[in-house]
Amino acid sequence: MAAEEPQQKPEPLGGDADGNGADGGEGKMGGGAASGRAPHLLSGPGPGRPWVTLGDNRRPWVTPVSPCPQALLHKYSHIRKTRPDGNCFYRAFGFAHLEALLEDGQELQRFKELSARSKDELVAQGFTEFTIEDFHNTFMELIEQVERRVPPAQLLAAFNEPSTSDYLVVYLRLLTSGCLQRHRPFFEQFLEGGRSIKEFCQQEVEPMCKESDHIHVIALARALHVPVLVEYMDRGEGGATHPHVFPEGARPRVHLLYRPGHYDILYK
Amino acid sequence: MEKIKCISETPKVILKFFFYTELNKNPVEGFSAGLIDDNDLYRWEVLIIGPPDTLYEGGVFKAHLTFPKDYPLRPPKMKFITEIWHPNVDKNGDVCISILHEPGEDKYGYEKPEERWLPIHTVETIMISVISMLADPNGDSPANVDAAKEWREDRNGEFKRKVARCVRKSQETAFE
Repeated sequence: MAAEEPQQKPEPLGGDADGNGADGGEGKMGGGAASGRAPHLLSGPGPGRPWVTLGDNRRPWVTPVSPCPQALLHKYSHIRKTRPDGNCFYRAFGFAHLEALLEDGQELQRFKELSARSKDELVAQGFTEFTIEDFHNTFMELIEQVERRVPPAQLLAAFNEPSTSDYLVVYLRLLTSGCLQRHRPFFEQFLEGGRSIKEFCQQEVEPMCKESDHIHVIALARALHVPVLVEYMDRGEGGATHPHVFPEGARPRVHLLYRPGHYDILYK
Repeated sequence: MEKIKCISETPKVILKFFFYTELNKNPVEGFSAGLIDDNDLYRWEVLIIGPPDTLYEGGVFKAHLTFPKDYPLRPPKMKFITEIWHPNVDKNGDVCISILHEPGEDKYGYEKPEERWLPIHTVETIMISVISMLADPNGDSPANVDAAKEWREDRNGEFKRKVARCVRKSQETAFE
């Protein structure tokens, strides 16, 4: 039973990828050869698996290229993994920011006010109120939990409760879509294949399980005024990472690691 | 605990919304809907009028919509109860259009600008897609291969005759 319980703390970055600490203990820093293991990033979600996990040695750090690059270890100490189901960017963003707000009352008030207003803005843009209000309510309930200073474990449990977690993902997708459509002339220039922003939102943003690219990250960071830093780990460059902050020059509040097709949360 | 209860009730709330506000105040031309059983908000019966200027004109087709417990995260299923001959409806009556596919399914690849299931879809937007399917079948992803073949090769012959037979039959049985 303990095997399916998410643990309380992020796992050390570069933790033991071979799973030698099988009892869930912390792996050694900088260890972890990925050789010979299936890349868990590519596996589908199994029933009952936690959405956001901590220190879970059954799904260790694995990359197609290399173990954790040294450059990343100098900047970050821990990683929190998210289920690779196409919703990982939204779940990672949502959890990382709300968790940080447990310690930042001032930003919490700003974020709460903006979030409370956001539903009316979406309705003004043409979304039908009764189709979005349940998702908005779930989002606001999570923010209120943060305001009550619930223990981090309770916030994590909420993110591992499928309906709550997925409702949050839906709402963050709607905010992303709303921002893309509000700034249509700006974002349309990045679209390929002659699609309109509206089509792009209906095909790549609003449906569940559709993966996120730069454009989604830029739009959500802009919609909520929460700057995001993404460490991009490229395939075939020895695991080098390239940090990008959205929007450029801002002080990031959320740090994510991107390996092709997947986002996880990084901790300083 | 209170919270979890509230969320599991949500789909019912949305279905009630459809029932009392949307359908009654803004009926979509060409269909009507209601619960099969007043105690079960997850199963609906819809009547679809064959769109004018199509082979299905004049038909009155009965179908059932079944909503999953985690609606609207996942789409409902739709099944014609009235016999209907159409490339995107299989021989058991199950409707196969992209808007009703589970999220994550990518049968047709993303380059096809088809509509997908969105958690903000409603009975109304689904019915608009179904009516548009009747007017304009998708021959690329047939659920009824024989109907698709006839639609492609003999649209005004055998295909038209079979559809006309269904339309006639639907009128006879619609209000039974």
